[in-house]
Parts: sequence; C-alpha cells; structure tokens
Amino acid sequence: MKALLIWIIVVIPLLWGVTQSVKKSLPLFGVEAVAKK
Amino acid sequence: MSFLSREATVAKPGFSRWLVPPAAVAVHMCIGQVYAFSVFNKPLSAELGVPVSRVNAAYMIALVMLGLSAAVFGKWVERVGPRKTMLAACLCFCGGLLLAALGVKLKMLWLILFGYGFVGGTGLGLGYIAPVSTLVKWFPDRPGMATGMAIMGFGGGALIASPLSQELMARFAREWGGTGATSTLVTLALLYACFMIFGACIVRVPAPGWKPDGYEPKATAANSMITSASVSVDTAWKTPQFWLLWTMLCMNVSAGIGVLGRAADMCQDMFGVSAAIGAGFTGLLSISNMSGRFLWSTVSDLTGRKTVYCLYFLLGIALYALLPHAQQTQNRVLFVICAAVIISMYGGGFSTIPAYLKDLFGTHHVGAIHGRLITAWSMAAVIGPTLINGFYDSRVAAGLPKAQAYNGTFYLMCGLLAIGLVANLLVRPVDPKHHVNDTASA
Repeated sequence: MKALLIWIIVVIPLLWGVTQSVKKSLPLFGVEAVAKK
Repeated sequence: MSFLSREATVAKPGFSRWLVPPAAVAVHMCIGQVYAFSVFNKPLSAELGVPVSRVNAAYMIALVMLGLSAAVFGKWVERVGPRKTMLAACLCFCGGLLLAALGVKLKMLWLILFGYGFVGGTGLGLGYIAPVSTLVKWFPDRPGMATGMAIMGFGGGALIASPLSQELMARFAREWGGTGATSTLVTLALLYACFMIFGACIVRVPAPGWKPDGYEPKATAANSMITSASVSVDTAWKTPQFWLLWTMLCMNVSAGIGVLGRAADMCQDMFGVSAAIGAGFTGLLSISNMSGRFLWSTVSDLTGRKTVYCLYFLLGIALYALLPHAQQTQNRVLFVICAAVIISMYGGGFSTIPAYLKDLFGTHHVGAIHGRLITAWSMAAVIGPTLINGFYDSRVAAGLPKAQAYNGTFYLMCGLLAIGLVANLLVRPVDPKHHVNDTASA
C-alpha cells in the first residue's frame, strides 16, 4: 500500500506533463480545436 | 547516527527495492525543469529590459555547471550517499530558483545568472548523479531499466515545468500584474523542494553484500564486456574506455540537439505548416525523448550496451539521411516518424550510459565516473548548437532556400553519429590491471 502511494505521488505529475504534451501535439495530427481548449 | 548519513539510509531486511526508483524519479523530475527554462526568456527579458540572449545565458551557465559539479562532487556523492546529496541538490536547485526570483524582483541580471546558473546548476549536477550508483546497486540484474526510470524522470521534468510555469505566470499576472515570473519562480522552488525532500526521505542504499533473490552474477570471461570487478574513478578517467564513452555521449547529444533545438522552426520551414503544428511537433518530440529514456535503456539489458549503442548510431545515421528525402517529397509522416525515433535514441543515449559504465568499470565508483562523463553533455550543449546553427546560417547566407538549408545539417548529424559509432566499436573491456581489489571495492 505504501509502495503504491509513493509511486502514485511521482507518477501523477508525470502523467499530467505527458497529457499536456499530447494536447500540444494534437495540431500535428490535424486536431486543432482540442489543443486550443 | 545522523539522519543524513549514509549509514542511516541502509535498507533494513525486507525493504522493497521498488521503492527506490520513485525517489530517483522525484528528484530528476524536479531538476528536469532546466529544459523548460526557455519559457522564462521573454518574461524575464521584459522585466529586466535586457535582450533574451542575455537572460538565456542563465540556462547555458546552468548546463555547464551541471557537468562541472557532477565531475567535481562525484567522489563526495559516493562517500556521503544519496540522501545527503539529494538534500544538497535541493538546497542548491531550489535556492537557485529563489535567488533568481530575487534577481527579477530587484531587476539584477547578475543575480539571476548567479542564482539559477551557478547555484541552481550545481544542484542540477548533484541531483543528476545522486541516485545513479544507488539504483545500479539495487538492480544489478537490470541496471539499464533502473537508471532509465530515473533519467526518464529528467525528461518528464520538462514536460511538467513548461506548461506549469506558463499556467502559473498567467495566473499571477492576472492577480498581481506584471509578468508573474517572480511569484512563479518562488512557487516552483517550494513545490520542487517538497518533491526533492520526499525523494531524499524515501531513498535507501542496499546493505553490503545484498543481492536480489535468485540473482547470481554470471562468471565473467576475460573478454566479457561486463565486469564483476571495479575500477576507481581516479583510474577510470585515464582509461581509453572512458574517453570513448565520453565521445559517444558527446556525439549522440550533439546530433540530437540538431533536431530538438530547432524542431518547431524546422517543421514550419520544411513543410510550410503553421506555428501551432510546429509547436505540436516539439510536443511529440518531448514525449519521444522521455519514453526513449526508459524503453531503449531497458532494451539494453537484453541486447547488451554495445549493441544498443550501435543501433542508436546506425539507425540514427539512416534516419537522418532519410530526412532530406522526406523534405523533397513533402512526406510529413515520414519526417515526423524519423525525427521521433531519432529523439527517442537521443534520450536513450543518456539513460544507457550509466549501465554501460557499470558494465565496464563496476559499481564501486560508478556514480563518480558518471559525474565526470557528464562533462560530455555540457560540451555538447555548447558545441552542438554552435556547430549546427553556424552550418545552417552559412547555407542560408550562401543563398539556399530555408527548406533545403536544413538538409546539409542532417548530413552533418550523420557525420557526428558516425564518429560515435567508431568510438563505440573501439570499446573493449578494461584492462584487469586497473581493477581495485575486492576489499577496497566492498
């Protein structure tokens, strides 16, 4: 349980960062509207 | 026994080694902020009324200090252990951010350069090497995967810091006016301090003689690339193997920066796309950089370090050579795929090098040796962009259209990777006369 909590603490910020980059890269695939939100 | 001493961090029986990578990731995720420093360029330039190039000097100083501090303090890091080093890194890095905030408040550029560049850069070096030897000792069976996880955190740090800083600056600017840079730097310093202290608290070193359940080191043949002996840092850096690895890292980083540093402009110039698509290309490369650090390094545990570096260089050369073709045929998909794979291998080059060092020099001083090798990164951060931008500018000055001027730089990248490939092929096991005896290495 403790190990899971420790992993969650570091993984959540990383996932947030990845999500932001994915949103930023959407125009590359022709998805402009979502990226602008 | 001090809480900070190495002895206090020795794991008790039953401790799970899987709790150590999050400690490393927590620290690397914070110091990876350096890659996102460019988001402060324009706000700081506006606050101080100086050109962006003078503000950006803080970033360059920080990268140079990263290499220098890693090289200078490597032996100290090995002696005092990861907890004290992580806290020292926290003090320097977060202190550097606070000094930079004070510099913005007082409109003193020198304080920003000193704070972020010199003090913060020292924290970067300490934080970068702090968990490496600890991870290698916890994961002797999978050193590539373990160091890949930590160094992936460094790549991920930029993905977090860039949007977070922009969001914070926008909010603070709305609330209190100005650019919001001062409050953002202070907020980042406090947030990062929490994460770095968290990492320092949970990190542990294995007890002497500890090994994973069921793990038996393979008996090494005289010509094996993986040694069970160790080499001291003072001896290691005098061996040809050290300088061959230094050359490989320097060439791999220089070649990666060729795409990474100009990604958005390159995409727009070569394919005539919008700035949003150019920024999207940069976002995709950031994800490739981060994921490559973990994936390629993990692959190296299966293939061996020399093989995976041959792959980085050979595949890198082939893909760089394909980029001009992608431009001429206006094949955007091919261009994006090639660039993403190239950048994943750029990240992989960073994360595989500690395991390569462990294979060649053993675990005794691997953190300190890694620290000295990091100077290759500092060198590449300076010479890479200079070489690439200079070459590109000369082609444009010679009258070549911008879209085609990049093609020459891609061939230049192939040349740099070819030098790296030759260096890798020349790597041989370290002469046993350099090995320290077992009692010294324990």
